[in-house]
Amino acid sequence: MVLPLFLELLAIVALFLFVRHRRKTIWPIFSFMLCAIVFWGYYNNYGFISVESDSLQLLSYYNLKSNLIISSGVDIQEIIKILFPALLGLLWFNIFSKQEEYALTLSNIMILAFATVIFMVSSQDVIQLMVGSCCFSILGFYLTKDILGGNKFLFYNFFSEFSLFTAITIMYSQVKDIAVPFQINMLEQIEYKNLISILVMLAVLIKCATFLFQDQIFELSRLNYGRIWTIFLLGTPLSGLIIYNKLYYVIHISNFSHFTLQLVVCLSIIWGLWNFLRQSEHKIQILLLDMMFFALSLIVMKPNYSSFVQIISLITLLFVCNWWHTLPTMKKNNWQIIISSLFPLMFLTSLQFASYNKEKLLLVIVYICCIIVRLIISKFISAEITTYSQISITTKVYDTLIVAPLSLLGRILWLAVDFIVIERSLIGTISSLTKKTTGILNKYQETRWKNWIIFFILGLGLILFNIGNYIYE
Amino acid sequence: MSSSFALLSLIVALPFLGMLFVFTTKSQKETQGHNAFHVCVFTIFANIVLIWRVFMLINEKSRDLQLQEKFNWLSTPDINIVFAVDTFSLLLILSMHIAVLIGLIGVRSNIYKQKSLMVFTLLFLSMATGFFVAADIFSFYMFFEAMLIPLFMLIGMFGEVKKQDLIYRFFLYNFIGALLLFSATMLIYYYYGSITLQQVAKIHIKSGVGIYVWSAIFLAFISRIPIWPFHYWISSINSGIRNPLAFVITSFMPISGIYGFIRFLPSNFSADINNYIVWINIIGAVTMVFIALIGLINRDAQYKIFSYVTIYNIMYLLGVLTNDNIIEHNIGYSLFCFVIIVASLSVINSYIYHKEQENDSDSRGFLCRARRLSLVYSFMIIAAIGLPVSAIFINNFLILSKLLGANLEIGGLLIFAILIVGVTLLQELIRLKTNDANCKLGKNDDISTWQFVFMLFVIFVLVMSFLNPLWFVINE
Repeated sequence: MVLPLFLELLAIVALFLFVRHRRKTIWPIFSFMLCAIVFWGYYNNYGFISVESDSLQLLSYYNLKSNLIISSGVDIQEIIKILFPALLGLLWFNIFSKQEEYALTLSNIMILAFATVIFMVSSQDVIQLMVGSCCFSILGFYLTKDILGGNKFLFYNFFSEFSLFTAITIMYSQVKDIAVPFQINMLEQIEYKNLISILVMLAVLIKCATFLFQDQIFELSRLNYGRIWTIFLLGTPLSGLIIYNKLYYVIHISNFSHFTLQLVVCLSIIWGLWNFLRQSEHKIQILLLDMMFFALSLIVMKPNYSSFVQIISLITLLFVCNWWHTLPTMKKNNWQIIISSLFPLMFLTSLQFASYNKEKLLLVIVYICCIIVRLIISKFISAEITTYSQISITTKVYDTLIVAPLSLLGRILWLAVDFIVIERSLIGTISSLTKKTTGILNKYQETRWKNWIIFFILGLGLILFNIGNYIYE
Repeated sequence: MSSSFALLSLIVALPFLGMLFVFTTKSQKETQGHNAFHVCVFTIFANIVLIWRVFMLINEKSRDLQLQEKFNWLSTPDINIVFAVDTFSLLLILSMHIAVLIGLIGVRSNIYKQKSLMVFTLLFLSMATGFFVAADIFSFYMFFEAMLIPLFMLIGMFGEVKKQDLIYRFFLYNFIGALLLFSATMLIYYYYGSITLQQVAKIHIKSGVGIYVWSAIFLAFISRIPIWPFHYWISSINSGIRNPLAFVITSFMPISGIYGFIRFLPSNFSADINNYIVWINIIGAVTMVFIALIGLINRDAQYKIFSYVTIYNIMYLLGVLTNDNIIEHNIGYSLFCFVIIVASLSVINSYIYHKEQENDSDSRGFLCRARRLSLVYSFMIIAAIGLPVSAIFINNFLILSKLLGANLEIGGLLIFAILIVGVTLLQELIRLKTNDANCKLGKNDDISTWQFVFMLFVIFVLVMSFLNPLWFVINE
C-alpha cells in the first residue's frame, strides 16, 4: 500500500510540472487538495499490514544487482502517518506565503522531498540509500539556490555525498555486499575500520549540520519560513538521521567513533546554546534550536526502527513548536494568521498529543525554557550581537587550512611542473634537438664540394661494407 | 558470429559518403552552410539507426568480437582486413555519434567555413568508427592514424590555436606514436601474421623483441592520453578550443588510447609488467591530482571541462589496467555517458561564451534568467560530478571499488582528484547561478525551444542509462 502512495505523490508532481501561469495561487491549492485526498485514501487503508515489500529490479549489472524497494512494513507506515500531516501543514502554509514567487514549485519540492523520505527509509541496500541521499541534496540545492551563500549548502552536501560514497566503495571492495544493515560479523572482518567509520560519520555530521559544519545552515536564514521548514522537516538533516540509522553499526565499528560522536554533539549543543542565547534574529534562533535537536538525536537514537520512528515524531513536534514560535513575528492581518497558521497549528498540535509520551513533553518543556531564558537574557543585553563574525570563524578556518593551501599547491604545480619541467625542460630539449638535427641536415644538403665528398665517402663505405659481407658469407 | 550483410562496413562508409554529399552541397552566402549542416545531421541520424540495428544483432553479454566481416586486402603479403564489434566498441561508436550531434547544435549558427567543418567532422566520424570496428592489427593501425588527418585540420582551422608550436607538437607526439605502433605492428605481423585483435592478447614474443613491441604499443597509446608527461600538448590545445564541435572531437583522442589498451593488453601479466603497472598507477594518480588542482584555480570554464575530461580518462585507463573483463563493461557503460556529458557541457559552455562576447557582458548570474539553460546545465553538472542521474554513478562506484581494493592509497588519490574536479564544476555552476545585477544577459538569450527539447531527450537518454545502460537494445 505504500507503493501506490509513492507513485501517487510522484504523479501529483508530474501533473503540475508543465502548467502555465505558475505564479497563480490556485495551483498550490490544487496541490494541497490532491495530497489531502491521497492522505485520506492512505489513512482509510492504514493498518493493512503487508509483510512483503514492493520491489522492482532497479539495476542489473554483471557484478551488481540492486532492487528498488518500497517497503510496506509497519514502521514505514507509522512514519508516513506521522509525517504526512506535517507535509499537509507545510503545503497549507505555502498557499498563503506571499514571499514565495513560485509557490507551486515549492509545493512540488515538498511533495518530492516526502516521496524521497519514503524511498530512503525503505532502502535495503546502499545503492538506494545513496540515491535517496543525493536526491535530498539536489532538492536542498533547489531550495537554496536563489540565496547568497546557498553555495555553502551545496558544497557541504556534496562533500557529505562523496564521503558516504567513498566509505561504501571501500567497504564494497572488501565485502562485495550492498545489503543494509550490514551484518556485524561481516564488519568485524573488514580492513580500514577507522577510515570507513570516520567517512560515514562525516557524512552524517555534515548533513545534520553539527558543530564544524554549521555554517551551511546560517545562510538559510535568508530563506522564507516555508523553505527553512522543508529543509529541516523533510531535508538533508533527516537524510543524515536515516543514514545514521541504517549504517549505525558501520559507524560504531571503530573504537573512537562513540567518543568522537559524543564530543561533536556536546560541542554542537554548547555552541548552539551559547549563540541562541545571544542571538536576536528569530530565524537563526529557530535554526539553532533545530540544529541542537538533530545533534542530540545522533546520541539518543538506537539502531532499530522504533527508536527511529520516535525521533521522527519528535521532529514533527519540533516543526510544530517552530511554527508556534514564529506566529508572533508574522506580519499579516489577524484573519490571515488565523487561517494560514492558527487553525492548522491547532490541528497538528492535537495530533501530536493524541499520542502523548514523556519525550514529547520533555521536548516542549526544553523548547519553552530556552525561549524564556533567551527572553530574560535579552533584557540584560541591550546591544544586538550579530554572530555572523563568530559564525564565519569556521569558514575562515576552512579557507585558511584547506582552500588556500589547495589553491597555492595548484599554482605551484602549474608553474613548476607544467611550465618549468615540461615546457621549458622536456619540450625545450626536444625542440632544440629537433632544431639542431634539422640544421645539421640542412647544412649537409647544401651544394658544396665538401658535402659531395662526404656523401661520396659514405656511399662508398656502404657499398664496400655490403660487398664485404657478401664475400664473407 | 559473422555477418552476411556488411553492416559494419556500412556504418564506417556512411559518414564518408555523407562527406562526399556535403562536398556537393551548395554553399552560397544566403545559405551560409545550412545545406552542409543538414546533410551532416541527416547522415549522423541515419548512422545512429544503423548502429541501433547492429545492437539488436549482437549478444551484448558476450565479450567476443561479433558480426565479423573479412576482406582480403593483399595476397602477398597475406593481409586481411577484418571488422567486428562487441558491446564496448558499439557503445563508444554510438556515444560518439550522439556527442557529435550535440556538438552540431553548438555550431548551428556558425558561418565560418561551415562546409569544411562538416566535411572534416564526417571524415573524422568515419575514421573513428573504422577504428572502433577494426578487428585486425592492420586496419586498427590504419584507422588509428587516419583519424588524425581530419583532427589536424579541425584543430588548425577551428581550434583557435594561437601558437603554431602547438600544432607542431600535436604532429610530433602523434607521429612518434604512429612510428612506434607501426614498428610494433610490423613485428607482430612478422612473428604471427595478420592476426585479429582477440589473438593479440595471447601472443608471446621472445624477450628482447617482446619488450620492445609492448613498450612501443604502450607508448603509442599513452601518448594520446593526457597523463604526465604527455598531458601538456592535449591541455594546450583543448583548453584553447572555443569551437564546441572541435572540442568534442578532440576529446575522443584519449578514448582512442584507452580503447587501444583494452584491445592490446596481454591477458596475463608477467611480474615485470606488473611492476610497470604500479608505476603507471602512481603517475596516473599524481597527474589526476595536479590537473584537478590546476583546474580548481583556473578561472577559464574551458579548462575546468578539460580537467574533468583528463581526470576521468586517467581513471578509465587505470581501470583498464586492472585487466578485469567485468570492469571493462563498467568502463564502457560509464564512457557512454561520459562522452555525452562532455559534449553537452562543452556546447553549453561555448554558447555562454558566445553570448558573453555578443553582449559584452560577464555571464555571472546568467542562469538565474535563462530557465531552460539553467535546467539543462544543472543536470549536466550533477551528472558529471557523479551523482545518481546517469550510468556514471554506479559504474564509477564499481570501477573505484576495484581500484581501491587493489591499492587504497592510489584509490584515495583518485577519489581526491575526482572530488576536486567536482568542486571545480560546481564552482562554475554557482558562479552562473549567483544573481548579478550587472549581467546584461537575459531571458531572450536563453536556448531556443527545439534546442531545449533536444537536450531534454539527451537527459532522458542519460537517466535511462542509469537504470539500464542498454535500455535501447531490443533483442530479436
